[in-house]
Amino acid sequence: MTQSITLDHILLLAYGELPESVFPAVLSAMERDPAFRKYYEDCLKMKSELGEFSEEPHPTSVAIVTEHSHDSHTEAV
Amino acid sequence: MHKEFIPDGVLLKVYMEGNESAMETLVRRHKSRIFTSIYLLVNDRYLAEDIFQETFIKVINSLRSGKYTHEGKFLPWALRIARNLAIDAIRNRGRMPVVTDSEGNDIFSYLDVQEDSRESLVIEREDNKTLRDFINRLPDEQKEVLVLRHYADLSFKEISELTGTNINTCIGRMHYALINLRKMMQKSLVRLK
Repeated sequence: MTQSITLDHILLLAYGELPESVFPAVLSAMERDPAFRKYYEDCLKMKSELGEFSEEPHPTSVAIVTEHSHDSHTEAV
Repeated sequence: MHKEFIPDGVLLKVYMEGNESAMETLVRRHKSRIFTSIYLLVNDRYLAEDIFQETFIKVINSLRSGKYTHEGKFLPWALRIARNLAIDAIRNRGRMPVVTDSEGNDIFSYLDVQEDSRESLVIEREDNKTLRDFINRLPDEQKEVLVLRHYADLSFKEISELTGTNINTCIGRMHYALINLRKMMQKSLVRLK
């Protein structure tokens, strides 16, 4: 039975979550259909553009958390 | 020198056995992903700091009281707590006053820039702000999947379990989130780094 390939499969491939069993079918679908290949390239491009964004908590927030951990540890002891 | 990677599960175990430094390692390892996710969900740095602290305080209290049962991985568990706190905060936000300057900007958004005002940092923050604005224009359900998949690095299966949504629905939401973001980027002719 031939499995029909959808954009969901291509998205899973771009995010490294495609089940191994579907892998060959998805690759051949991408070879046959330029629309699939284009969607895959767009997904990778978006991943790369989104990937730049990262924020760090303020050091005070981290200090509050570790202090709470320390306090609760001291109480437990 | 190569530092050996200790899995989260091992760190949790030794923390519960009394090794306090294990929590510091977990916080250092996951703080960026958890904070970025919270920040994108609530779109308010000041509130995100509060939720970040509260998330880890709940994590620590659960571990100390023996409520943590090793049923899941650390990050999805911590993000589940963070997400619930973020949802509560968004619901309550209508009642919270926002302090703005004369141009209507949230004054708290300046606080973290004061420490380092180099030009490159300002440009980077402008790029981040543009991207954050795009993400915040997405419908909530699309934004949630995008943030949890891309920035928190959860799998679609983990997102499905965390949000109580069918996995195919999660994938569909991600699909539309990427399409909508791409349209916004093309429309504004902004090329992000």
